[in-house]
Amino acid sequence: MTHSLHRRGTAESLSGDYVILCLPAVGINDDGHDSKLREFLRIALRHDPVNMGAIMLGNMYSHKAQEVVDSAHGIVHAVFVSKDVVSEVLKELKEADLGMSVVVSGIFENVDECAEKAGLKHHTANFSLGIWGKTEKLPSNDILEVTTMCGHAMVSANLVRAMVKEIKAGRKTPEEAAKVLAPQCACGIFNPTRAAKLLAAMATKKS
Amino acid sequence: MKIDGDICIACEACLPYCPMEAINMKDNVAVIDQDECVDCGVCLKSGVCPVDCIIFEPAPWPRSLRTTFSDPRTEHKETKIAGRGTEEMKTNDVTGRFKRGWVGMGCEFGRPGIGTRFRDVDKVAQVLAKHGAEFEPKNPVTFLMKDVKTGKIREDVLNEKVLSAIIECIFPIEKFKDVITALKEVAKEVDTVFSVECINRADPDGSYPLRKLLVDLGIPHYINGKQNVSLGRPLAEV
Amino acid sequence: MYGSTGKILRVDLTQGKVWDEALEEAALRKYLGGTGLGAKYLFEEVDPKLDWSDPKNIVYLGSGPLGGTRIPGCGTISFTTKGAMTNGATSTQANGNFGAFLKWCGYDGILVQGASPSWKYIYVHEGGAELRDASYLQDKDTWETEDAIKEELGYKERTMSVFSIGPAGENLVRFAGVFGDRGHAAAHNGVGAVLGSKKLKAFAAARATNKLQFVDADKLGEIAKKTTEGAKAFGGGGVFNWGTSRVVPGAEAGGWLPVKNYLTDIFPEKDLFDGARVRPLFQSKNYPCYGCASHHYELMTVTEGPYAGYFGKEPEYEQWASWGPQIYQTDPGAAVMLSNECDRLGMDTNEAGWVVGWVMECYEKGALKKKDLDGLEMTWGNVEATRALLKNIAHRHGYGNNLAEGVKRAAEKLGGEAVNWAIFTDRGNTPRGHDHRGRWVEMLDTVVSNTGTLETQMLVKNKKLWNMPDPMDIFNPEHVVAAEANSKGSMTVSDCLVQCWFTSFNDTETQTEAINAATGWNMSLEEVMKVGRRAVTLMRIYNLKAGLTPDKEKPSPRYCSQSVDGPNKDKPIAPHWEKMMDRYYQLMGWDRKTGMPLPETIKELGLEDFTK
Repeated sequence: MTHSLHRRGTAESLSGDYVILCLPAVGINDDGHDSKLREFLRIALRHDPVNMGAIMLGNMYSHKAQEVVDSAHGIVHAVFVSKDVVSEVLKELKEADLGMSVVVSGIFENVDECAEKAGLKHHTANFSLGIWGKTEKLPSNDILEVTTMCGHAMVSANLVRAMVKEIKAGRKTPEEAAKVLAPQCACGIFNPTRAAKLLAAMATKKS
Repeated sequence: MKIDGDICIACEACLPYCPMEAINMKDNVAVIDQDECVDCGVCLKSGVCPVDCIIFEPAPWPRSLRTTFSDPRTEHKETKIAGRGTEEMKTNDVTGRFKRGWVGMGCEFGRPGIGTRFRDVDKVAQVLAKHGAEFEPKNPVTFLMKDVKTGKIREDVLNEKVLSAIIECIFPIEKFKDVITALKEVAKEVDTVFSVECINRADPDGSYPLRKLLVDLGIPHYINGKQNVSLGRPLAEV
Repeated sequence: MYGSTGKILRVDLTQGKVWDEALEEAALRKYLGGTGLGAKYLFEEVDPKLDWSDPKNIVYLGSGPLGGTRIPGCGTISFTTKGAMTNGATSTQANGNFGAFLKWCGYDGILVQGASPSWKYIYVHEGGAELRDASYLQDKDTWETEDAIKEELGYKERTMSVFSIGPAGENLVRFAGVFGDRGHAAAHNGVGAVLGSKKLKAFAAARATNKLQFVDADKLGEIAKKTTEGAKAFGGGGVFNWGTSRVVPGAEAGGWLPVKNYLTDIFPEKDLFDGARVRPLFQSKNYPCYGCASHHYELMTVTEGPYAGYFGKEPEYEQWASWGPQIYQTDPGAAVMLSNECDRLGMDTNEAGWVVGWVMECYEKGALKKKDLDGLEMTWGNVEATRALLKNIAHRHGYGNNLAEGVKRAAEKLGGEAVNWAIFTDRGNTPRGHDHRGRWVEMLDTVVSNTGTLETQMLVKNKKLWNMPDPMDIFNPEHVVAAEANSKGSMTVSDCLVQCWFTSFNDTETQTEAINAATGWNMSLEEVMKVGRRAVTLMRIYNLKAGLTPDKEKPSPRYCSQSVDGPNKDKPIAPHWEKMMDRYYQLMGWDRKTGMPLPETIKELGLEDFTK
């Protein structure tokens, strides 16, 4: 699975977009892993994530945060907007020594900085070589910057367009519009704070 | 997914939610195009329908494939993993699947947001196999291959449409140039888009040989990506 | 024919027969449907001198050319009859699904005449229609009736539309109405009492396959989208997102919330009734009408207070008004309960509110005592006593029998000072749920309306088209009269189509586009505007013949009194009244003495045949 990869955006936009995943290796250290993933989410929650998810249940926009924590199983996710916070979270995770694999998705240099601050070494990287094939079928880039934040494509391009329309008409604020999109991403790796900024920018563009 | 036409009140609220644009108005009710629909369940799970008339009727094989690939909340029977792929590099600190000197590659068809039929996956899988790629055994697409040596996918699923499907494979870093060149060629024949990812274990000095190779070959990669931070235990010896 | 099904269902209850009757295209072009066609039938078939309870009275339930399209709001149904409060013409609409389902079953409308010897209900379906035994439905309330009929006929929720009268209609309570699709109401001027006098308990229309033919279905689809966009934009999307659930605080601030029977205009607890507070608090679920994406209509369960657990529909503003400030009680949960009890018993919430408020004032002042009221302590805000009183009224039990005649007749019967405390007009109809001392256009409208209820007010998308003052000073007598007179017909067009006011916002231009896309008649905007005026004028002529002469166009002393507090206490309407009435007649082109439209007005609207 690679759902938190391929997130499109400018350096500026991506500098506010970090996803941390936590999961066991099935067949090796997955016995009783639920409690460890719950602990991960509790640690994450202490640092005000902008989203959190446990895929079988949902995310903090479709359910209450505590419900997400309680349903931790298989793989869990938390989203942050600042690399300083990511450093703090990684520090706590190191101390907690849960024994679960942790993966951070974000700008490589920034993530390396966070790992170093937390006294951690990067192990394996996943690079995105972008989108190949019949790219003319794709929607415009500004729509992709929003939709690629859900790696399972659950946030439809048409819904993004409908939300931009709502913002333009003054019927929704960018934050309210982002909250319509967020619940659709079952894993909870969608970043509504970043989405609100992107939607606001799309709404002010002349169409 | 289906809409109960006896109940639908034609309010049109569900239309923008479908990632495949498969919901349209016909004769004053909303109708889901069964061929374009990938059974991802976004319409139903969104709760947008005020009269709860969106239904999921589990389908027999091969259509049943659509929901297992498209709804990340369903677990694949074979791998017991929800979502479209495997643990891949996420647990490499513990599994050691990707050793130094090797490159992991994933081609996720239909991503982002276009959807794919398996015939395109089949086309590219065969090209990858020809150039020495080994398919990840626990991957759901590998399970659909008639022959993992050739990458040929079974006939009866070729027309099924899914939100996305990911080929996962591995090969020695020396083969990377060949594979990428062949991939560029076959990309021209594909009727959808696919997102390409590469995985590499860091060297003891922390550098990624693959990154250097990408620069040398002039292949751009995104400034952002994923990194495992060695917190898994017990650490594999890779 | 395109748009129209080309026929109505005739029901003769005396003979127990139903049959199809063809519609003439020429008549449809002149009247469109709904109220327009209903007014024509009323005029042609019911002697204006008859009593409303005479079997020769008719009830016409009509949809129109847009019924059965997916343009938002076209599931609405319009009822026309000779009503029980004024004994004059009635036009009252209910939203929901009936209009769409009826058209899909193959009928533009249902015309009921005669009276049945035993209780019946009408069932319309894809194959036709039939009269069915309703004796097992006697004394069932309107929600119970809906459930029972669906169960009897085997229809699940949302596949059948049922509108019925409750015990109030069965007992000929003058202000009984028709209720269906979970609490949508056509409640004005006693249409429910008329049906009760005919022993017709309910109408049930099955959802059928849509076989309607339209000239340009694609254009209708575009107009549906455009209407949704327009509804989302109107008033910043207030009604689209909240319906009328957020109106109470603003009404109080504007001095047009009816508080304690007009004894005051101050209601400190107004924010307790704000939909933004109540909806999240009481588990609410959206329950839209056919074709509509708005969040106007919700079903809810009360979650706190003595009525926690009560399930029903969210009160409309009118119901918050009656069962909160008007009876001077402050628990929204109790207001939900009383609103639904009133709907279930089958009574008009406006009239019921004026009745109960008046009783409470009489009780406070000693004009009515506990023994007069069958042991009920009708102190201000007594919820349980109100609940019991409503039941007594619906069953004409004890003093409820007097009150079942409406506040005007009940007050006149009691006599003395109590008559001056009641809110009514001399014709017998009463206002909607506001204090019109802060809403002059509607006070004027209530007094002059030909429909037994609201005929015109300022809810019009294109004010310029209807020559309304803009900007509008709502306390300037000249503006008030111009707004009322010039836009006369604007809302009636919607009632002829038949389309909800809260989706169309009476956008006559888009409605004209829609009519033409459906029917191919190529009507001009002016022609369509005239359809509205024509229906209004026809009902006026009818009412004059029925004895509703201009001398009866008077508000009661309390209705047009001067507010003692609040923002409008220095704005009494009474000094301007006569001048406003004179000016109104002038603008309408009607004779001030007789009330009759002048010959040129009648000619302009092609109504010469109706005045011979």
